Amino acid sequence: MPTELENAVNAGDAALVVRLLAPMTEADRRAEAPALIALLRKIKKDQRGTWGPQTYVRESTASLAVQGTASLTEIKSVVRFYVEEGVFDVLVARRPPWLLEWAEWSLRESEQYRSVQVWPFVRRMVKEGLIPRPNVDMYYLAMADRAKQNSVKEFLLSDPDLLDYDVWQLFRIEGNQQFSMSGIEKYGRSKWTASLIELMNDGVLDRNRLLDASLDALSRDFPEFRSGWFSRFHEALSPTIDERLVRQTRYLELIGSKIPPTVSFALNAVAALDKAGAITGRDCVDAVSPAFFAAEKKIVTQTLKLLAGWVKRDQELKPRAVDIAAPALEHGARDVREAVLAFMTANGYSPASETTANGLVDEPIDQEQPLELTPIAPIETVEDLVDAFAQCIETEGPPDDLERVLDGVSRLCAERPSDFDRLTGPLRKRARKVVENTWPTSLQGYSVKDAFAGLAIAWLEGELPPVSNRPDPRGVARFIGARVREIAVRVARREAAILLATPTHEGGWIAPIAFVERVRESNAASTKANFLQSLLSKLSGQSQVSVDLLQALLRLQPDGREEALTSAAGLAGEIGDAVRHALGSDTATVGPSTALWFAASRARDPWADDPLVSARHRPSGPGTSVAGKIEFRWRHTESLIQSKTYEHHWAEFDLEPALQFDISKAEGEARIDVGYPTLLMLSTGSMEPSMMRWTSVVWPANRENWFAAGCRMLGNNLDWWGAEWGNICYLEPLLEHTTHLDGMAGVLLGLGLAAKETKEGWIAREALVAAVRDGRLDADLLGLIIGRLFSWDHIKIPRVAERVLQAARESTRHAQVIHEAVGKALSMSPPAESGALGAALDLFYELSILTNSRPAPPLLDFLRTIKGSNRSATMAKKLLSL
Amino acid sequence: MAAAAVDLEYTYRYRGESALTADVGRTRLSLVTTSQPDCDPLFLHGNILSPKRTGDLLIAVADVVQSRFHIPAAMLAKILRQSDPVITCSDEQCRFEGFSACCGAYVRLDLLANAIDGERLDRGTTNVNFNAPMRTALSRVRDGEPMEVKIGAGAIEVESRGESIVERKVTLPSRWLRGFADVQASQARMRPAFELSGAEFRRFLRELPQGVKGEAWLSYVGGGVRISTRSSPGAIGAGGISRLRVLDTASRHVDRVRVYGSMEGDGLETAWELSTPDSRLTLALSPEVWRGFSGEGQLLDSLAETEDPKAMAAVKASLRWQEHIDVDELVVNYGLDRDRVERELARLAASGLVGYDLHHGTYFHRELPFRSEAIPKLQPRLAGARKLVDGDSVTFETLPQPSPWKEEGDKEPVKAWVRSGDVEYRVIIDGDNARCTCVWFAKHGGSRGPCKHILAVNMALERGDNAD
Repeated sequence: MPTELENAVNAGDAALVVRLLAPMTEADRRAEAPALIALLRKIKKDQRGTWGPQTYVRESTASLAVQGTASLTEIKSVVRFYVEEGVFDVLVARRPPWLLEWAEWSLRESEQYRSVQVWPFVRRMVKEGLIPRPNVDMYYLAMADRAKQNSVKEFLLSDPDLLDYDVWQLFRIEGNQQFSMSGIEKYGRSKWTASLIELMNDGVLDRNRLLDASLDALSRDFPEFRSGWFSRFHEALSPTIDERLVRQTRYLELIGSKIPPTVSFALNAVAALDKAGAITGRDCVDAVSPAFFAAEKKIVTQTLKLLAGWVKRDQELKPRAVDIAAPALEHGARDVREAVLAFMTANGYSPASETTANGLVDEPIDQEQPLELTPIAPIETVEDLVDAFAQCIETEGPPDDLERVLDGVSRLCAERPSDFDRLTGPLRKRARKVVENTWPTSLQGYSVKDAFAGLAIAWLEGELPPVSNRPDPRGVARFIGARVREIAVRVARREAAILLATPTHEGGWIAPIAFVERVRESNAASTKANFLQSLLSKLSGQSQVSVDLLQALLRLQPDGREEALTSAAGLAGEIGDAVRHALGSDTATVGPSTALWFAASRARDPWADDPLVSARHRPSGPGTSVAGKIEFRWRHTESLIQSKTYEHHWAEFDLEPALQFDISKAEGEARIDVGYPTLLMLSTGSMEPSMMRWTSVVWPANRENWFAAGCRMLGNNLDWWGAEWGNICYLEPLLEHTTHLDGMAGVLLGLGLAAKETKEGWIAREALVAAVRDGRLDADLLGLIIGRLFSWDHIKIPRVAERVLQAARESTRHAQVIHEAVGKALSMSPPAESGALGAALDLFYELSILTNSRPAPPLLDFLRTIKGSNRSATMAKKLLSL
Repeated sequence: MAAAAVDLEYTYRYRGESALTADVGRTRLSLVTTSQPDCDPLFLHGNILSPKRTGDLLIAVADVVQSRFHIPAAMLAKILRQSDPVITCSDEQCRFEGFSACCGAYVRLDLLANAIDGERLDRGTTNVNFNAPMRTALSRVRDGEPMEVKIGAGAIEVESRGESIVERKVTLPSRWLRGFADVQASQARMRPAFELSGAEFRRFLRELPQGVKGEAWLSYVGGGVRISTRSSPGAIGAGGISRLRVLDTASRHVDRVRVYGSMEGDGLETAWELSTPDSRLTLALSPEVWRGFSGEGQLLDSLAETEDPKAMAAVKASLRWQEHIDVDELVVNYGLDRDRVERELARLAASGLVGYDLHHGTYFHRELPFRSEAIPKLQPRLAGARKLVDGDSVTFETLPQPSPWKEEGDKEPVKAWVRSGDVEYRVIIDGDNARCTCVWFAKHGGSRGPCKHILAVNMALERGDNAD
């Protein structure tokens, strides 16, 4: 029988809960607690997945009741931080001994839930003497956040005790990710800076104390965003020269801060004092030494300027000044190093010896490496299969391991050793858990984890998922899903068979002779298998050719084909002809199965057109019966939002031959049969990294279509507007010495160098280094790639320049190739925008110093045309003077 | 009670706050250590010979201690708010040790004999009060101003109107306790990989990509560190190297840096030893930003084995706050097996009773001021394994038998079944290789030490629980 309290909770009547609790003793409350805790848990569970303002009324009422009856430990474990109006009355009526602890817990929860609703209640408890001030930073941060919602000044004046103590704590507290003075100021309706200054002008707050408090805060080296408010506030007070002079020591100490904007702030203050003649070099020279370790150019150059002025006025400071400036000789920017060296030399510094060594190592070019691939050992036993299966579900890769398991389960699915159930118990349990909520879609190709869990269930329990309402994933993951389903159907019936598409070597490659032997071995079973496949295909509208066969063809290694062709002489039917054609035969008869012949054509020569197949099967895009062409381009759009124009550059490509359907739209892509994986690659989009990596080995011989998809994904996210963590997978194959870097791969390399996301840029830089080392990139090809970047207005050239320069430092050879390439790029297509041109010329200048080279004549002519006083002109002059 | 869930309620108790105060013509650094009921040792009194350098290095210790390189949202309430470093004073050195709140970074500053000119009065290990005003004051220190230093419970002059006790209660999460202890054994598994000059290290820090949390491969090439996303011959794996930025200020004073890599597991732990003329600052980083050091590698195997009472007694008897525990001496003097001694030292390290000095490749005696003997029991996998063994959950299918087809001494693998819940996990142990069919092993292989099932089988074998 529910109690009155429970009824009040179920009715969402918080006021009644407060009234019922008020007269209760602690013993009564504790007696009510278990039922109310259970009720709160039930309410939370019942409302999962529902939304709306009424949804949480019962939960917040229940939370109120629990806070009026349960222990603090129980409250912390079950109350999900809802602040009901009645919580003050409930707790004050109860007066538990842990009230302070409750207040501190609630305030900490505020941080996590980004809500400061509890603050007024806590503040009231403090004011009424029920608790001392909570010893948590959130008490003060929550106050600051509450105040900003209307008028900070009025907020403080309405509770004047805050002005004596609490306000000053804001200068002591760093803040956190959710709440800091910088964030509160940025997003507040009312501004703390203006309000505090008003109160100061009204005589309510002490000016000197505000000046000192803001400097105290800066001394604490809060992270950059959080410390910014304090330096801005200090400057907003407009300190006079006399006020600054009194605080001279503080400013000088702040030059040693590890926060660059704080150092800049301090230098500005010192510069102001210096300009007013209020300080001397002797007072300051030692204090500025930390600034010469700064990475920021502006800090070093500003300090150098100050130092130069002091030395000019007091020559005795020269030796000390030279010592202090010396660390900046290590600065990353050449112009800073040159400026510091010039200063030091002018003040008596003599370098021990002139060194022209650039620190680069000599590296020979790697000779073209034959395709040496590591063989993959197949799984032999059910025990090993269980281990490998479990590993694939947890680690989701690498692709070679995934393929081993597909092969293993396909061959061993009929074996049931005596301890089979015992051995596979953990795998069965884990697989069920993984697909608990995704069972119907597990074999569609969305997720490697789900795919292998679903496949494990098919093997262990003979069960397949029901038909899914969810559309298949975009791109070639659909093909992978079809492969896994094809295997799962057979494995569920315990029909063992060899897989044609199992790689024999790492990287997804199949040795041709092994492939032919598999085709021969499976021919006897293929009639039955093909019948089933054909039936399923007709029912589902999918390709009538086994996806296993299509995948196998696309993985054929280029080596060892002659021997395999000889061995394939006896293979019958259309499959036999297709296999022989793939291996190089000129006498095969092209049959009716388009998907089969497209795959055979691409296996024969991934980079050439195939007129024989084209004659029977019209090419329907790049990677069918022709190699095709892909041209990358940008589509520029502008949109007007709240009177502001936003520009966007959309990455797209033109295909030759063009596709029949618009592959950029889901409905267009859905019309491409799953039997055309090379076309599906073009629309591969956002997916989990593990699935992305698996798609990279669908056609290892030619990834142009796949790279094209990568160009679109990276190109549309150059400045990291969305967290597309899978995109780095497109860049990884660029590191392989078998990946050609002309075409889409080269475009992708360029986009990687231009990408904002650190790891994308990092991998692209590594790929550049690797490709120069192994000879895939020479100056001509690299020049084309960089020149393309220069020609795109929206590319951030400084970002590209930094990465290219880092790559150049790898070795003498790298520096030379990259220098020549950048020179060619500047000659062919210099950036049109002045800032970008300046960055490009700066890069070239650095490379010229590194390689001890001068610009080639065509570039010299261009440099002579650059006039003016901006960075481009300055760099042009420097280059001409080399 | 599940040992893994036990956090330690701990109280830092000092007679005052550490402070840097200005006196006539000099500054005084008073480092206040934990107060004891019946004694207030003064460890050291003297002058710091390079105040700016020492001040910046102490700031580095403070910065690591308060760093949270990674905090899962759900852990916000449980993360240690602020811990204090531990100081060990011996005849020749003062060592300050700290562990980050996120459990992923360990720092140790060794002030060598020539860093402080003064009187060393006592030896021991205790907590030392570090606070924000002291850190701020240290950042203002300049060379040229003499700095007096006092280290001890009585380092601060007692106020005339009475003592002002500083007490701060914290909850030390068990993960933090374990990590602080385990990082010593983790360092014992590291080897030097390469060295950099101070300038090369500063350039490396400047060029460090922002926000790199995953793994990287580092090698020394042509006067600099090459950072790669792929392994290569001679490269060491390193996780979360962006954390090295905490050494920015300290790097200004550094002459040389030695970099250490891990030889075990997934090999992503690193240690960075920064040397100055009178000190060494060592920063050890966990394999990944979101991982600690606890339970990695072979440590759990060592802890799971039964203690060798003779070796342990010998090792314990030799402890006298020495800076270097001489293993050879123990082997010779007590007639012990070297491997055994090193295992017992690893066990003591996991208990917080010794630390590891990478530079010398030796352990040193210091005793963490927490309830350290309980720390190994906090290892969740060990606790889980003990529970399995005590619950008779281990069944052997085959036992180690000499094999007629293998080399002499080789044995057939052990096969066992471990019941946990409603499934049984098959464990196979073949020499140094072991595998299990549990999710943990599937995910990590052996790269993060044995799972609880493998540990349970090893424990059962040692105990002689061989009944099938």
